[in-house]
Amino acid sequence: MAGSPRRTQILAIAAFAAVVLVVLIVVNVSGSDDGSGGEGGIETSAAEAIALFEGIPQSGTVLGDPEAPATLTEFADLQCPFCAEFATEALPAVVEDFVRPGELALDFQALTFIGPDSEEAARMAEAAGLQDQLWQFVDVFYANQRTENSGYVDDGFLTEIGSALPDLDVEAALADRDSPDVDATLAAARKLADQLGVDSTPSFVLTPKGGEPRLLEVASLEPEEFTAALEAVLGNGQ
Amino acid sequence: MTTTGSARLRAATVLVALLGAGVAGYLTYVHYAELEPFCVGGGGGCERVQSSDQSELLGVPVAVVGLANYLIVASCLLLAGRRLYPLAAGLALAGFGFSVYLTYVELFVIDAICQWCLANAVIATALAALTVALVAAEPVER
Repeated sequence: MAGSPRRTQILAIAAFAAVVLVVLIVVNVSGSDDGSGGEGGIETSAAEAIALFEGIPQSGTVLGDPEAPATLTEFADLQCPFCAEFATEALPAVVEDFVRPGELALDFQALTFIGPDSEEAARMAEAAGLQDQLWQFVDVFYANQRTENSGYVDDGFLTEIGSALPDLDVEAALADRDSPDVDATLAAARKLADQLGVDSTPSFVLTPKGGEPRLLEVASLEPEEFTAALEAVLGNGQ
Repeated sequence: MTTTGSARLRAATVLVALLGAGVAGYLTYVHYAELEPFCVGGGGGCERVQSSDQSELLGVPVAVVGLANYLIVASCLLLAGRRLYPLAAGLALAGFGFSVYLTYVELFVIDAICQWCLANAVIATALAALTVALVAAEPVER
């Protein structure tokens, strides 16, 4: 009769599997709290964003000299963690090395495919763009991203983010979220993404002045990747 | 089960484990290369799942954990002989349970489905069934 030892063996296997499974789930759940993202809070991230973009011309979705030799268009979803990673890791170097010297303009095109919170965030960003404060708003938002589609992007959160930017009229921005201008900008972003075959975020399209747009391929979101890729295309040093 | 039947079952199990390692390996690669997984039909489901909070365990991508699990299971079956079949079955069952949990998270928390994760769930299910069958086919040592 092998029934008893067999049963013991199966029970031991099941118990082992159950313990491993419980540990995995507990670790996974504990690592996915709704942490408020930003290091140092909204005020700190706002101060960093203001410093990063200070003195650089901004118009709507475009940051930098509109007559720059090239424009880098970023397609992003404000809930996308990789987009936030780009904003915190690589964007400062791109701004300082290329945008501030007038060699490159940046264009932010908001996509909203992750969920309803993306739409809420994008509308507020575009509304901030009507006041030429989109890039600061987006930067602070990314630094304070929370769990996707948890419903955190409400009026309270947007007000909190916006209020940290002294040059942004938060009440006006909130009111402009459903304006025809914002509708048009978001629709244009979707259309442009379709035209260029962009189906993921962040995606980057580089357009030399008077030239054809082309996808900027980067192996990672490290600053060195972007500066090297941009230098290769723009054909100059820093 | 005959020796030949047992050997075939073991070969099939190793094959499934290596298939799982292939899927997990691909997801590990796209994670570290910060690429988007190729998703039939698009829709951003893979990106949403891959970039969600639940895609990591203490900072380690779940794809890496899956890859390690598949390779350990395959190694137990290939290198260590039947003595480690129960360990392989235990790990495969845990992997199956975790894939069920992750599928639940995709459906009800992230609200997105990643085709690669579904493929992994199918492989994990098959691997659990095969390893348990393998253990059941072996005589119990007293």
